[in-house]
Amino acid sequence: MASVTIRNLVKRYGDTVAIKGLSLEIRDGEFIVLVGPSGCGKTTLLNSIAGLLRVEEGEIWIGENLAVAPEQGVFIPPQKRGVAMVFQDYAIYPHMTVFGNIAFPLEIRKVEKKEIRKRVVEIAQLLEIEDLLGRKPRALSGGQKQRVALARAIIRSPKVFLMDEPFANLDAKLRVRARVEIKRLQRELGITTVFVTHDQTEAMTMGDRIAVMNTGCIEQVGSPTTLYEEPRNLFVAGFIGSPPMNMWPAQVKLVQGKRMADLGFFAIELPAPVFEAAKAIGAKELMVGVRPEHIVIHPQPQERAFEAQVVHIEPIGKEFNVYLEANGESLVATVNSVSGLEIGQRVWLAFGKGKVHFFDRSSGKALR
Amino acid sequence: MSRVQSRRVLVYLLLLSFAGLALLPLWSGVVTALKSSKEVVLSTPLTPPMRPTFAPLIEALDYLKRPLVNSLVLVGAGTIVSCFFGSILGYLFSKYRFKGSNLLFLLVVICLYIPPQVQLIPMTRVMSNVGLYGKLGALVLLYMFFGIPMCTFVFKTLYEEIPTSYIRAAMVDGAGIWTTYRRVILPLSVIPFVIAALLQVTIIWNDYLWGLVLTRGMANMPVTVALANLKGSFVGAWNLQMAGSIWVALPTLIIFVFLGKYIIRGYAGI
Ligand SMILES: Nc1ncnc2c1ncn2[C@@H]1O[C@H](COP(=O)(O)OP(=O)(O)OP(=O)(O)O)[C@@H](O)[C@H]1O
Ligand SMILES: [Mg+2]
Repeated sequence: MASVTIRNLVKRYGDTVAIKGLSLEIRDGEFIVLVGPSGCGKTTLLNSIAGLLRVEEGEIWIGENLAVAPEQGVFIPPQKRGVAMVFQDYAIYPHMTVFGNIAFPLEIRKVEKKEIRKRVVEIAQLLEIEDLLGRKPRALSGGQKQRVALARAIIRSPKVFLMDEPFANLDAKLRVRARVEIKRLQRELGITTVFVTHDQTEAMTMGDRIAVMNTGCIEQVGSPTTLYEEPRNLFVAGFIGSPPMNMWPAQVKLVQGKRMADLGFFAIELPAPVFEAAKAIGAKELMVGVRPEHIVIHPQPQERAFEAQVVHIEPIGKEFNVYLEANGESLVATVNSVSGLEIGQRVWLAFGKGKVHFFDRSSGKALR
Repeated sequence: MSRVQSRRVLVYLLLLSFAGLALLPLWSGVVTALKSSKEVVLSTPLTPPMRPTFAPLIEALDYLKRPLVNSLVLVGAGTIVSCFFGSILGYLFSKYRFKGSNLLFLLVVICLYIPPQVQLIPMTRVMSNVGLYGKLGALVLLYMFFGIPMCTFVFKTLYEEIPTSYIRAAMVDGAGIWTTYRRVILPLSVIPFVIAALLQVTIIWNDYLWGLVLTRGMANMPVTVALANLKGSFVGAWNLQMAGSIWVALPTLIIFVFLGKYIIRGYAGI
């Protein structure tokens, strides 16, 4: 078990810079989830921590040990870092049995045969795969392969556990199971874990903290609630949450002595701290964001509401996504009930009190 | 009979006659090898032997036994050494890209395309400088090294199919380059070894030019060169020549019949 500290990491592939001076502090025993659009450098970051890639600049500390520091010529090879990794395709060796696969890291370390046997059986029991130990990988299902990969990764009690989209090849039901299982395992073993995913739900439910990456940088690190409720900038606001936050451009205006954000078709009063923050950086052009569940749909005209038309209603289990159009712009609202709503109907929309996000349009920074 | 059926019969007849035509030399070789010298003169090359005899086969084998052993030695040494180095180089080229590895591999591929005629004179000089000219050792050395580019090529192409994540997983699990090779790559190499070995075996066994140029005397000759001499020593002894040819062709014939699909994979580079 160890913390991981990354300082000003830079990784280039020829002319493209995959990681641009990234810093991240991962606490001991923490489960941190890396999310970000495709190509933002998640795999690159993970491989750099594992030592499968060499970076150009920066430092990586694993616990007390400096693992990477190209400026000082430090590079600890992957086999000496005490990290374990689960790959997207599981990378289970096809010529070995399940037992052989799980035992592999210990055999390499020349652990005694009896000890290996004991540990493999222990781990297999923990993951409920003891019946499969004699099988060859081609006789395993996707979910079983995934457990074998997990077992192989945890058998040597790694300091850090890296997982690159380990659920990508599982169906929806297995994903939920695997999610719960990995979380349980991680809590029991207390291994520092870095988990890459594309899945919002996985990120929100599994992470002690989430790090949102974009084009080789980290935009924000924080607890799932923090990221959801207080996104630091437009990118994080747009990336976290599904369906994504509704956004409109707006201008700061003084209307009848009140400071308002003017959306063109609608105006919202700016809270005093937001106005101060905007003034401090001289922001006149804003972006206003409201999460779908913070849009209230009224069938009748209302004070402080604007008119819209229902375009489409999408049931998503116990809730509904209602797609609307207002002044030529589409938006989406998530509601508990759609009784009395019809496609094509005229409705009035209001924003939940205190649930509106304001951003400076040029820098993308949140104003609060 | 319907039109479709009769057309099909026609196609089969045509194919059969082509097959027959292709097999004619083999037939002629086998029947001639089973005839006595007198019968060879008295009958056509296609008529079956009236009184079949194994004498020519036995005599040819006796004449070729030393060169046959020589060729076996060449095939064994050349195949094992080239496959061994080819496998390691293929592994490094496919899984450990380093600065300039592409250029280096290009050089390896170019080696495959240098015609032996260009290398005859320099190679003869080299061999006589190291004191191996005329000896079997010259050929052993030559085949060991000449097979490496081809084997590297075969192994590299086939190793590309092994997911890189296996290598990475092994590294993270604690294995270095060589442990990974031994524990992960080598056990997955059965097919590439079979393909590369078969290619090497057939190439070395059938090669004539290098043996002709670099060796002297029956004790050093590969079997292909000795076979050509069979013609010179026995005037018009067709039955002996055919018997000798059968002995020489037999191993490769067996390989092609039973393992031909691997050879095709090797040449196709897949
Ligand atoms: N071997 C490579 N050579 C050149 N460029 C590369 C290489 N590997 C990755 N890149 C580039 O580096 C950037 C980051 O890639 P990376 O694989 O880390 O993205 P990712 O966040 O894992 O994406 P995904 O979510 O699709 O897996 C991308 O722009 C990619 O094109
Ligand atoms: Mg990736």
